[in-house]
Amino acid sequence: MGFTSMLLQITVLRLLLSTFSGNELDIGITLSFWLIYVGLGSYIGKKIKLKHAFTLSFILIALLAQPIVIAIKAIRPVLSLEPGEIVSLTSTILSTAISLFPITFIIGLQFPLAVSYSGGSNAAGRVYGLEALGAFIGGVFFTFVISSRVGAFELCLLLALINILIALYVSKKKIITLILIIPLFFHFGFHKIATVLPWHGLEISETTESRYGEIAVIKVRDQSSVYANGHLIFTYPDSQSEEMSTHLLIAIHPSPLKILVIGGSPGTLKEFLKYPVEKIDFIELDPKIVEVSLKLLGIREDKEAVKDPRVNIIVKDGRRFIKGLNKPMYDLIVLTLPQPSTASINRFYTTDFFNEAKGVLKQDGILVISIPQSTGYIGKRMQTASGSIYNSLKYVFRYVEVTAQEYGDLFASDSVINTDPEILENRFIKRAIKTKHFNQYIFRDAFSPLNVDYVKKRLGGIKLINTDIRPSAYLYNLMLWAEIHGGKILHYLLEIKGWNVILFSGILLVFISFIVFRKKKRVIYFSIFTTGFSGMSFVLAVILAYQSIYGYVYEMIGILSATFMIGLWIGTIITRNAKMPLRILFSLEVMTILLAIISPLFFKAELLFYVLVFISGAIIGGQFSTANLSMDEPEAGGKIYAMDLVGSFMGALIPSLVIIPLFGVTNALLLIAFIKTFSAAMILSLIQIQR
Amino acid sequence: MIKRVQCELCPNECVLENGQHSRCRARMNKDGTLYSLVYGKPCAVHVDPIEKKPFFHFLPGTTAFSIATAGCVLSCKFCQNWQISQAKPEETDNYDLPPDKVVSQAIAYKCRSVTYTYTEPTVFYEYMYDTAVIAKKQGIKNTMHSCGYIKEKPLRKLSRYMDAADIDLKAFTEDFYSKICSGSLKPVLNSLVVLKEEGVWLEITNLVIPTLNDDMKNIKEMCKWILKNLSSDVPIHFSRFFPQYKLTNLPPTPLETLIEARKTAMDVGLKFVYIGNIRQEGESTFCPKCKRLLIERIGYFVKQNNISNGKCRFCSTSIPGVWS
Repeated sequence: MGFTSMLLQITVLRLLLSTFSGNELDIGITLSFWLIYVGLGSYIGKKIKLKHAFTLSFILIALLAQPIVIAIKAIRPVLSLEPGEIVSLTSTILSTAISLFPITFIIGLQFPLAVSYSGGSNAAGRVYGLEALGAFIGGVFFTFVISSRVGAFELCLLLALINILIALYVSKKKIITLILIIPLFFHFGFHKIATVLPWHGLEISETTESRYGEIAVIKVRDQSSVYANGHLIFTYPDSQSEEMSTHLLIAIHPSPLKILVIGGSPGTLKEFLKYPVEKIDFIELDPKIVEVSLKLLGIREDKEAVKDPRVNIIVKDGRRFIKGLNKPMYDLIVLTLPQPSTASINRFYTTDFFNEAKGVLKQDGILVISIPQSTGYIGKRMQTASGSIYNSLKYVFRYVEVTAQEYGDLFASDSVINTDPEILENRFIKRAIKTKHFNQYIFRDAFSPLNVDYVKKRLGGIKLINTDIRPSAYLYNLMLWAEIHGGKILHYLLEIKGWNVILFSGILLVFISFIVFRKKKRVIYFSIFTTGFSGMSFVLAVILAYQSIYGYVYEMIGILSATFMIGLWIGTIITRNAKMPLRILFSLEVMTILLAIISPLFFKAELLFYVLVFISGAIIGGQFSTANLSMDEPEAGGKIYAMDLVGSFMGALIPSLVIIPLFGVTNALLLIAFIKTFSAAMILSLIQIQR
Repeated sequence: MIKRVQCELCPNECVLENGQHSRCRARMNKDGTLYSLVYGKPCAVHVDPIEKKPFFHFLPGTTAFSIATAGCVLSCKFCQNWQISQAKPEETDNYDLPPDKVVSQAIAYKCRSVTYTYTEPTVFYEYMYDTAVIAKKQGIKNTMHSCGYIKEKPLRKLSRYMDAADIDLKAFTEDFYSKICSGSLKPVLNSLVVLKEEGVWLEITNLVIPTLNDDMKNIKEMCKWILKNLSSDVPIHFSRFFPQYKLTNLPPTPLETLIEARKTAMDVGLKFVYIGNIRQEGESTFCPKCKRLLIERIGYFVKQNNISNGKCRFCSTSIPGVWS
C-alpha cells in the first residue's frame, strides 16, 4: 500500500508539474489535495462494512492508476489552452483537485480497512509503520531504478498489475487473475494518446524521462524546441537568438579568454568560438538534456563546435561545479538560465551564488545575467523581481551595469565595466566577426544612455536581496506570475505581513487551547493535528532549504521521502508498547520544538539533512503511535490518521503558498516551534490531571 | 435617476454604471459623465528610432518621441507590453506630461515626430488628439501604432491630425481575434479602409505566431484583401513571435515561416514586404521598378538612403511614403 502510494504520489507530482510548467507552489497544492482526500477516505473508511472491501480497494486502485495519467495529460486540452499557454492558479487548483480525487480517496479508505484486516493490539500503529516501510522502499526504488528509465504510463501499468496481485493474495479468489487483462489492454490501447495529449497542436519529435522530469522536443518546421517539465528551455536552430545571446555580451570584456557558460542552447558555442578564446566550459545539469541537444545539432559549425578542443561540456550542477573550483580562472561567466520561478533556479540568482561566482572570476572578470525583457515600461512586479536580482548583484560586486530594458542583461564585476556604445561598437568591428543577424548598430540601441538610465532608476529603488534561505526573487516571480494570471487570491495572500501571521495564529491557538484544555480526546486530536501540520511544513521547509543549497531535490526526492518514511517506521516501532504514552508524547512534542529551532544548524552539510529528515520522521511516527495508545478506543486509529492528514494538508498548503515564500525558511521553522509549544502545553495539562 | 453612460470610442462600446471602469481601464463613469483616467499621465516615455515603430516609409533615420498610458481595448495572450496594456492607470507609475510638454520635449530631444504607441493609443484618445493638434502647429509630425480597434467617427476626426499609422493586423480570422485577443476582426479591417480614405500614411504589422496564425492560406487571403481594399503600396511588416505574457511556452516563429510569408505576400503583388526583427534583405527597401537598393537598413540603423524628392535616385520612379 505504502509502496503504491509513494510511487503514485511521485508520478502524479511529476506529471502535474509538467502540465502546469510548475514550481514548488504546485507541489504544495498537489500534496495538500492528496492529503485531504486520503484523510477523507480514511475517515469514511471506518464506516464501510462491505465484505471484501479491502480486496476491492486494491482492484480499484489498479484500475484507476493508468486513467489518472491520461486524465492529467488531458488537462491542457480540456481547459482549451493554446499550446504553450500558462495555466491560471484557479484552474491549477481545480484540475488538481478533480483529477486526484478518485484514486487518493480510495488510498485513504485502505488504511482503516487494512487495520480491521490485520486486527490485534495497536493495529493502527503497526499498519502505519508498515505503510511507511512500503513507502520507503517505493522511494528508494524510484530514485535508483525508475527515475530516468521508466515513464509514468509504464510505471502505472506496473502498479496496476502489482495491486491486482495483492488483491488476489488478500482474497484468495483465483478469478481475480482475469482482471490483469484490463491494465494490459489499456496500456497498449492508450499509449500513443498519452504521449500526444498534453502537446495538442504541436508536433512532438521526441519525449524522454530524465531524473529531473520529462524532457520533450517539439518541432515547428525545421526548428526544434526543447522543453523540461513543460518549460521552454531553448530553441535550435535559432541563429538570431544564438547570436544575440553571445555577441552582445562578449563585447563587454576587452579580452575574454576563458569563458564559463551555464545553461542555454549548445548553438551558442560556435558563436563564442568566433572569438580568440582559450577555453569554454559549458555546464548543463541534466544529462538527458545534453543528450537530446547533441542529437539535434544539424549545422556543421555546431557539430564542430562541440568537438573543438577548447570546448568542455560538463554535466553537473553549476553551483557544485563552481564550489569545487575555488580559485579565480574565468574572464566571463554567462548565466543563461530561465527566470527564478522555482527554488532550484533561484539558487543561481542569490548573493550566495554571486559570491561563489566571484570566487572563480578573475579580478577584471564579468558575470552576465539576464532578466526578462520589457518594452517601454517595467511594471511594478517586474521591477521588484528584477530589482531584487540587481540589488543582490550590487551587494556582492562593486560595479553593475545594465542594457536597455528591451535587451534585459545585467553585467557585474569588481572592476569598472565600460558600456559606452561607441567603444563596444568599435571593439566588435575590430574583431571582424561574421554574423548573420547581429550587427554593430545594436550596441547603440542596447546601451543608449537614456534607456540605461531608465532601467537603473527603475531597478535601483528596490532594497531587497535574494539569498538561499530567504529567496526573495523567487517570491517576486511568484507575484509576477500572479499578476499575469490575475490570480486575485494569490495577490492578497502575498500581501500578508509577518505580524499578521503571529497575531492571527496566536489568537487561534489560544482559542483552541481553551476548548481542548484538559479534555483528553480533544487534546490528542489537537496534538496530532499540529503534528501533521508542523510535520508537513517542516518537511517542505527542509526540502526547500535543500533545494536552495544543493539544487537537486527532484532527483533526491525519492531518497529524502524514503528516509523520512524509515524514520516514521522506526518511530512507530520504538513506541509500539509504550507504557506511559502521554508522557512520551509530551517529550516528543518538546523534541519537535527543539528540533525546529536548531535545524538551521543542520543545513551546513548534506548528510545532516538526511539525519534531520530521519529524526523528524521518527518523532512524528512516535507521536502518532503514542497518541493512538493514549486514546482508549481501539478504532480511534482511523480518526487520528484523518486528523494527521488534515493537519498535513494545511501544513502543505499554507506554508508553501504563504509562509515560506514571504518569511523564509528560518521563520517558518520558528512558527512551527510556536505552534508546537501550545500543543505541548496542552499535553502537559493532561499529564497533570493523571497525577 | 440612472447615471449610465456608454462609451463610443471603440467597438467594445462599454456601458458603464456610475463609478464603473471601462474594459480598457482608462475611462470611468462619474455621475453620468465619462472621464479619461489617463489624460496627461503617460507611464512610458522614450526616444526611439522611427524604424522601431516600425515605420520604414516615413521620415527614415529620424527619432520619434514615444508615449503611452496604461490600458488597452483588447487582451491579446501574446502582448509584449502587457505590463502596461493590461494594467490599471492607478497601478502604474506615471509621469505628469500635459500635451504641450509632450511637444516641447519632443522638440528638445530633436525628434521629428511624436508617436503614440506601446499600449493602445485609442484608450488615451483625448490626450493623443490634443497633443497632435499642438504638434502639428509646431511642425512636428504625428504617428501612431494601434490595433485599429476604434470606431469610425473618432478615427476620422483624429485622421485630420495623424500623419501616419501602423496598424496591427494580427490575423485574418474572426476565430483568432475572439479566442486569442477577445476582440473582433471586422472593425480592424474597417479602420484600415478609413485610414486609407483619409490619406493617412499606412503601414501594417503582422506578428506570425506558430500554430495560431501561421497558416499560409490565411496569410494569402489577408494579402489579397490588402491588395484589393487598400493598395499594393502599403508596406507590410511580418515579425517574429517570441514567448511572451500568457504564451511563455510556445516556440518562437521559425525563420522559414517568415520567409514564406514574405514570399506569399510578394507573389500576391504587394510591393514592400519586410521581415522585422531579423536581419535580412527583408529589411531594406528596393525600387519596385529598377530593383536598385533605395534604403539600406541594418537593424534600426539607416545606412544609406537613395530616395530624393520622394523618387528613386536611379530611375525617378515615385516611391510611396512620406520622406520629408
